[in-house]
Amino acid sequence: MVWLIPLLGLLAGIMFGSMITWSIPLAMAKYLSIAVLAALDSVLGGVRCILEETFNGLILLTGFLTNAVFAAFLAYLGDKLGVDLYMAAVFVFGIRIFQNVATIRHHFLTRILNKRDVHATPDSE
Amino acid sequence: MRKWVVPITLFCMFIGFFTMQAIKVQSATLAVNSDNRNEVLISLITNLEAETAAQEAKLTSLRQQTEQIISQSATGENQLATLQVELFNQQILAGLTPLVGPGIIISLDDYAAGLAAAPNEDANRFIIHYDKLLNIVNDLRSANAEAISINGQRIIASSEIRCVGNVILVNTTRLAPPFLISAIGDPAAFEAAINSSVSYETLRVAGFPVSYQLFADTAPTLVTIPAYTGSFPTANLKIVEMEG
Repeated sequence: MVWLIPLLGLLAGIMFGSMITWSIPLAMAKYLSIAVLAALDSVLGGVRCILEETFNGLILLTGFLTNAVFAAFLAYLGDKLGVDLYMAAVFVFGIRIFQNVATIRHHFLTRILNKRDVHATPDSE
Repeated sequence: MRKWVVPITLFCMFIGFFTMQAIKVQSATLAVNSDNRNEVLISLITNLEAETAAQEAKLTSLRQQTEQIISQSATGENQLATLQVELFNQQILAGLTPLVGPGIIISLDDYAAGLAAAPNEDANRFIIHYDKLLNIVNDLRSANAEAISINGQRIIASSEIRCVGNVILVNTTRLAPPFLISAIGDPAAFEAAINSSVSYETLRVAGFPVSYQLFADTAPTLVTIPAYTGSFPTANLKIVEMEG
């Protein structure tokens, strides 16, 4: 059950994050939530790529880094300009997360119901 | 081991860790609400007031000792006697002695009846604010008041009249309505000052229960002003050296 390893990783992260007494300064809270969203988006995109068998670790990593850095930059710029620009990043990440979840669901449904090849293109939502 | 396992696992750990951190930061932010802070401040004020009372008792006993020493040594030389008179006068000017004399007592109270009649109005419109006290004290000063007190708190050179939340502090002591402003000085000048006082007139016209009583020199009872019981901050004072 190789799927369990990432789940164990998630659990380990949760435990470690709740156990340590040190916490991120309040000023960084906004950037933190964007980083979490970017990581969630990357992981779901990665899972989709695994199902589509186009997974590439380098693409995953660079995608996450550019997204996170650019979102953090937007948030910073928004702070300076007095516009909630980070909402744009939150919005885009949110949409992508839902799209990825939908695609992943399609893949699983296709597998289970039709016992077909995983390569099958999912119908549009 | 498939090639995606390690990166995906790392990302999952990252998500778990930072989600917990974000939750922690958020809950810490929510915990610090204003109610908590108010309670802390109230207990702080209560503690400090107890401390102030203790310190004032100590100061009173020390000042009595000083007076004893002054009266004991009154048998000394002429020069010393002059210095003692000087010291006594300085104590009067510094507000360290209770005083009595002709003057005025002004009474100001919250407009409770007005608030009861209009409960939906902003309650702030029906209470006495610190600036009214400050302005009236200034009006009395402009009429050459020689000694002023509010609710038994002597106004001296370093006294403050300020607003902290919903209480008025004078000499760092909390005051509650009704406010009695007593002043020693020329009653006629006080009457003229209070009749031309914008703050007093504003309160009177708005319907606040305000009044004043004048005490002439010949009245059976005179205005009594208590002594200042607080301390004088002198930690940073240095006397300027005279030249020549």
